[in-house]
Amino acid sequence: MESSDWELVRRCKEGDRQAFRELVERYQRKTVAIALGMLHDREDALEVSQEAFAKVFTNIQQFKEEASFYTWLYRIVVNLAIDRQRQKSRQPLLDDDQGNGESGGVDATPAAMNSDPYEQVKDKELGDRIRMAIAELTPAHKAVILLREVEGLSYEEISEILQCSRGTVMSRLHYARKRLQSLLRHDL
Amino acid sequence: MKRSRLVPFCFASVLLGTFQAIAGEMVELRIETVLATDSSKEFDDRLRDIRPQLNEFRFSSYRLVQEERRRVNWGKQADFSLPGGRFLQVVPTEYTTDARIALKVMLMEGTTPTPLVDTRLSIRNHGMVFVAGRRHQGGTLIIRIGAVTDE
Amino acid sequence: MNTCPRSERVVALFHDDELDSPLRREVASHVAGCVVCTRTLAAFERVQELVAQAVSEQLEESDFSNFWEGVASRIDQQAPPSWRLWLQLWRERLRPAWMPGTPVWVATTAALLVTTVLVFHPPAKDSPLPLPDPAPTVLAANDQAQIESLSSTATVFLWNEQEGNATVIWVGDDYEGDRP
Repeated sequence: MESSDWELVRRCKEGDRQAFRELVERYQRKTVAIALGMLHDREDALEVSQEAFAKVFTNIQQFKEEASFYTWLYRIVVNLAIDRQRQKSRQPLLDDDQGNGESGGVDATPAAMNSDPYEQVKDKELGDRIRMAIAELTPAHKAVILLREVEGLSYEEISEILQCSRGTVMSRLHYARKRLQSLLRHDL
Repeated sequence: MKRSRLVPFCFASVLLGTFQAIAGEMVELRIETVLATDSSKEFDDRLRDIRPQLNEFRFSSYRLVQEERRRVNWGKQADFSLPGGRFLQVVPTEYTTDARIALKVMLMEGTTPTPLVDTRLSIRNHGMVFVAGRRHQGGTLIIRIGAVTDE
Repeated sequence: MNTCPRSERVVALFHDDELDSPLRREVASHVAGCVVCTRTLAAFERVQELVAQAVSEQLEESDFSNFWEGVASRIDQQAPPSWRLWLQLWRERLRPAWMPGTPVWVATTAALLVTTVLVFHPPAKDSPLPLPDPAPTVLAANDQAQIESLSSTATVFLWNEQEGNATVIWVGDDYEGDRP
């Protein structure tokens, strides 16, 4: 039977690395998905997620059981992704377009969603347009839309992760959706 | 006490304890919406229990336009439709150590993205708080939010 | 453009499964018969589908084979500083058996420090008592209700009615200024 997050956290607190590995394997795809949505670069997303897990392990003694593990983890991922984005925006751009280079940005490989080459190109173009639209959002709006639309979290969970009220979550979600609807109006 | 009597007594005590715990897990939320105007002297008799409080609003007429009661678990959200397409979301969050019921309350209106009111408050058991001031059909809405739980 | 008073706000909550069952049923039946709300809901669903699809495409192309190794090496990099390791080594291996353990050292040092402070800086006779923990912020309170936090897009007044013992959150309409 699969151990609960709580049980694994308890074992981590006793220094059990194998328990922590289980937690990492349970959440690695979810954290990378959030970081990808925030950063649009696979290498950056993987690095930020790994950094987040390392931070979690280092600070596991401070984790209080009344909170849920994943909201704590996601909060760290979102904060690190925002920091990373800030650092990158301060750096001069070496590539023609950040995130579109060989390092695994939006142009890396064609989407293997459709066997028809014409449809494949269309799918890929649509994917690129969506990623560019998400990139247009502010970090706060990006975080709220990803936690809701990709992770399927409730307003309550999102408010816990982003440390804001439920009303703020609703408001940010509204503006993020409006912006995406306007940027993607030809695809809706 | 004989052992033959002790066993049913213990069983009954445990059963009673469990029942009390379950009863305390629910909160009854009471939302009453009153339309207050200065157009007449009418006072809706169904509002007599809160007449002293309503009188403080200094309108001449008070009519109960909507009343709803809902029992919910702690932490669970209850939504109440209000006149004019508005609605109220209430979440009873905890029974505090000073015997108060803590609530998260949001009032939503129209298509505005941000809730009109977003508040955290606590009321004593069987207590109430009023959210008032929005215009409706030539009058003003007074929403009474009450909560009751078994102690 | 057609509008519906229920659109946007309630439909978004309906789409996000943030309504409780009675209102959810009510909104579901409204959406089924309202062209504007049906369109709004479809737009929300499409945005969700597109965002999820865009992220999952990139996720599928990500390589997780060395993910744990990356986490483990970061944890090792964040290992305690060398002085802590030396201290541990001293405690476990090098400390002679006759020397007292850490708790004794800590207690002795603390006692010495307190004594020094008391000798050189005796407490003033009228020194204030330590302040109690601050009470949680309460915006309005009476026997009935305590408002702990409040935000609003409208003009809001809070007051307690002394006679009726009632707490009131007054949410003003923009066009009226006569009350309270």
